[in-house]
Formats: sequence, C-alpha cells, structure tokens
Amino acid sequence: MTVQPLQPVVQAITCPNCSNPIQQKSATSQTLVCPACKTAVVMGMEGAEKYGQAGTMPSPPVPIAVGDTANINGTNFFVLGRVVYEGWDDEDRWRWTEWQIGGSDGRLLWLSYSKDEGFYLFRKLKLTQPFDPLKDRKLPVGKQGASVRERYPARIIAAEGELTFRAKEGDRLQMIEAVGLGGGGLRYSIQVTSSELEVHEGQAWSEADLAKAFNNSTWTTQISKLKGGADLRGTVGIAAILFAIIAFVGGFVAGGNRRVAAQQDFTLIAQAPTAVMKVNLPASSRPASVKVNLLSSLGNGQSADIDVSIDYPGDLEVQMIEADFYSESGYDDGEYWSETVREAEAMFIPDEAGEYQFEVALGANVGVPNPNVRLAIYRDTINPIWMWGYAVIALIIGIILLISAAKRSTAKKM
Amino acid sequence: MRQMTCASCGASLEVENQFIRAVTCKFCNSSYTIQGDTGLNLTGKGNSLANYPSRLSVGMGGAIRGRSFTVLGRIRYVYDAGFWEEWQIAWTDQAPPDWLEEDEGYWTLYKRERVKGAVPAYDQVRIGGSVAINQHNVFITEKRTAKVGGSEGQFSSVFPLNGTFGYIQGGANNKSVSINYWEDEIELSVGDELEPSEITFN
Repeated sequence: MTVQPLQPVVQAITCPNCSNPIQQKSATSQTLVCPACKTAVVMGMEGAEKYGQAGTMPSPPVPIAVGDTANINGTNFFVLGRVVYEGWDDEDRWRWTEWQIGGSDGRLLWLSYSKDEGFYLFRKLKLTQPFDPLKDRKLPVGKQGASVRERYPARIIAAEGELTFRAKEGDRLQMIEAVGLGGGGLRYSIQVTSSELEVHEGQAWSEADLAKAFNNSTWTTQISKLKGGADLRGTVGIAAILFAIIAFVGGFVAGGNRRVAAQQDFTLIAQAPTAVMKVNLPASSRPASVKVNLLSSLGNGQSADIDVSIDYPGDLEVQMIEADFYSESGYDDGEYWSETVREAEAMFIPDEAGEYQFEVALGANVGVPNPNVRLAIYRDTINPIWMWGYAVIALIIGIILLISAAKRSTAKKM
Repeated sequence: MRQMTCASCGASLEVENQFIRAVTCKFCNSSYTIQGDTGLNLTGKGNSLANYPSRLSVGMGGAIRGRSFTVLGRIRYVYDAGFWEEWQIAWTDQAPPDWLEEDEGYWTLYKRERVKGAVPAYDQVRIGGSVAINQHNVFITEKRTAKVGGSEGQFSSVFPLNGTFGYIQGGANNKSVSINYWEDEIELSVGDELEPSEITFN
C-alpha cells in the first residue's frame, strides 16, 4: 500500500527565539516546536510568540515520527506532533506518549501509547450531560456511560512538531480516566484545566495493525520477532510450571515410596533407659532414614527427650536424633492454640554393608514416665525437600516468564 | 441577491438574501452593517484572514444530511490559547442561515436561538457546573474570553470588530450549546454534532 503525503505546508513562520524557519502543516495548530532550539512557539493574537521551552524529547517508544504518514481505516493520516506526559500519584510515576495525527478528511486524532495500556486511538467527544470532574464516578457518554477509574495530576515532559493546544515543558493538567461500560473496550480520557473540560474517546489498537497502517515493514518484522520471543517465553513458562507440579507431586510420591528395613517398639524405663535395634543393611548410595515415634500419650505441658544414635559397621558412632517431644496449648490474643510433637526423623547414607546398631535412649528430660517409642529404619529414601525446592524455583521462573509473555501480549492486542 | 458597492474601495458587494445583516469586502476588509434595501454602514476594517487551506471556503457548497448549503462567510475568533473559525452557511431551501463550526475535524451545526429568560452572568459560570438557559440545562465544558480576529463574506448577525467578549460552551441533552456574552447582547447557539458521513462538500 502506498501512502501519499497528505498535508502541504500551510505557512512558514520564523522562530521568535532563534529565527529558524518553522513550517506549519495544520491550519488549526496552536503550538509549533522549533526543531532548532526546541522553543514552543504559539500562534497568539499578535502572531507567533515564544511560549516556553518544549523540553528534551525522549526517543519514541515505537518508530512513529513527526511527518510519517499512515492509512487508518481507509483514511490517510499525517503525524503532526508528539507529546510525552508524566502522571503521578502517592506511590508511583508513569509516562505515556501521544501523537497528534491529522487526517485527509480533516479529523484530528490522538494516538496514545503507554507501556501498561498499549495503543489507543482517541477522538474528541463533546460532553453534553453533567459530570463533576472532582467526584462523579460515572462519565455520561454513550448509552451505558463509563466508569471513572483514576484521577491524577500530570505534566508535559516534552513536545515536538505541532499541536492543536498550547504546550510547553512543565505545563500541568488534571487527568481523569474512565472505562466504557457498554463493552467494545472503549476508554475515555478527560483533561481538566481552569478554562476547559475535554473528553476523548479511545479504541485500542494492536502494534501489528499500527505497523501495517504506517506501512513500516521493518517495524512489522520487529513485532514478529518480539511476538516469537513472547511465545517462546510463554511456552517455557508453561513447561516450568508443569515441571513444578510434577516435582511437587513427585516429592510426595518419592518421599512416601520407601521400604521398611526394620521396626520395633520399646519401653524405656529409668532402670533401662536405652534400647538397641540391630539391622543388616546393604551398601547403598541412596539415603536411609531412622524415625522415632513417641507412642505414649502426652498430657498438656508434658515433654520427653528421646535420643537416637547409630553405630556403623566400622565402629563409627553418630548421634542422629536429639528429639524434644512435647504437647502444649494456651491462648494467644484470645485465640486458643495447641501444638504436639511426637515424631522425629533423620537420614544417613549406609555406604558400607553390615550390621548397624540403632540405640534409642531417654534424654535428660523425662516428663513422661516409662515412655513407649517406635523405632523404624527405612531404606531407599528420597528426600522430597530437594524436589520441592526445585519445584518452587521452577514455579517462580514459570510465573515470571508467563507474566512477561502476557504483558507483551496484552499491551499489543486490540 | 442584491449588489452593493464598498464605500471604501468601490468593489462590488453581494448580499445573498434577506437574512444578511453584515458584509465584509473581500478586497479591503471593510465591514458594513446593512441598513434597509441599499444602505451600508461602515463599522470598521477587520484583519484579513490568512489563506489557510480548509475543506470549506466562502462560495463553495455542500450538503448536511442531504440538505444543500452554500458558504456565505467565515469569521475567526481568537483567544489566549489559539483560535477557532465559524462558517456562515445559507440553505438552498431559503431557510435562515446557520453556522458551522469545526473542532478537531468534527463539525457542529449551530442554530441561533432567541434568549427567552434570564441568563447567568458570565462571572457566575464555572467549568463543570450547570446553568439553565431557555429550556436547556447546560453543562459547562469551556469558559474563555475571545475577540474577533478577522472575517470574510456575509453574515446574518452583526459582531463587533474590536474588544473582547466572554463565551461559554457546553452541552445539554445531546446538543452543543454556545453562549457569547457580547457587550450589548447575549447570543445563544444550539448545535448538533455531525457524524463525518453526514456532511459532504462539493
């Protein structure tokens, strides 16, 4: 599609600051920014007047420049100017860019872009029903109106080209944003000054459709590449979340899928405070575990210390468990709570074959008289903590990738 | 159509119909009010209008919702932040002339309406407030002062070439409403915003 230039130069004026010639392309422009000295020149009652500095314009977020042409819904448009705004509230500051575009049919539209909202094409709307900009929650537009979403102050960061209102760096305005209630994804932008209340109605545009409208094949190719990257991130993100789910479930399954090598119950008394269980284990690189359970009942406030040690076939002796079993309850800020611990477990590697001796013993605190304990030895234990750790990491990575892909997607789609 | 002569430069002045009350000489920008059948009263010399390209020009025709019109005149108002233009149009069906105003490419067709009751003072009106004028409860969206920056052609009303005036604009029941507070007159206009497809130009 070939897009022809639309607007001839209406008139050439001289910059009142640096005498550089400035070409005015739209008859209704109120501000012309001198390309040489960045002075905002306004068309006042007495002709061209210096209004202030237009500010340092940041690079455009997308390849749309003043002077570019586009064909939008069958009408040829010409990019007249660009403004960068900054809005703020108590917690945040954000920026957005607006391009003023003039159509061959005389219409002047605003193409708006922000990182969070993507592209919207706005047209001016006349408000014919009462609306209090300070407090009303509903904007009376269309059949069902629009819901006011946000009110915030904003200022102009920089401007270039020509604009149909007076604009210079630092000019302030009050913004109101509303979302259409009638479906169709319409957005409303209300600008309030001491002299005027202006309403613009916007329709979302995808970046791909805009690139096509501007007949910019390089931009279109970039979008395709970025879309491919977003798709890849989304795919990898989904894969990471699937892995996390599998790892979580696998942790539970593997943790419970172990073999009992030996199990025995003991009663420990003051006269015989220790008991020994001997178990022959084959050499293995997979961990085994020793688990001790207090079988005796625990009254509120009672506790008992139980220790377990291992005597390896090579006479190495290792203290494995120093458990403090207890039962407690009480009130905290009026809320009843209770807590009971009657189980402890530790893992070891049976790296040599032979007879392992497990000694269970009463500790220093014996709050339960003659406690009954169960000692169990498990082989081929898989520690699920590692799998759950991997699952958490994979889940975080997956969520980040999916959010990244979704942001790219929602910002660019209609 | 009547032919008159500019007292200032001798050029021929055309007066389209009986509704015309003022005319501007396109050669010397002298402005006149029309008195009786032949009289012209010089009210002053206005500024010439820059030859901006527009979809309208004095003398050209078009149609609004299928109703044909001819452009009789153009007047430019300037205010502290810019200017706007209004076009006086004559209907080919001989109805009284109306006004066309363009705002960011969208057209509004205004009809003058006689003020039938009290109008709030300009100083009492605020942006975002509402005022009752005739049967309209007008929601105010704009309030400024302006002056006539220039004119060309023929007009159904007389406007001062010098001095500023206050104006307010707003909406009421899906109509656009504009009130000009001239020194000796309050002028009320009620308009319909046109869809782009509702206006065509020859």
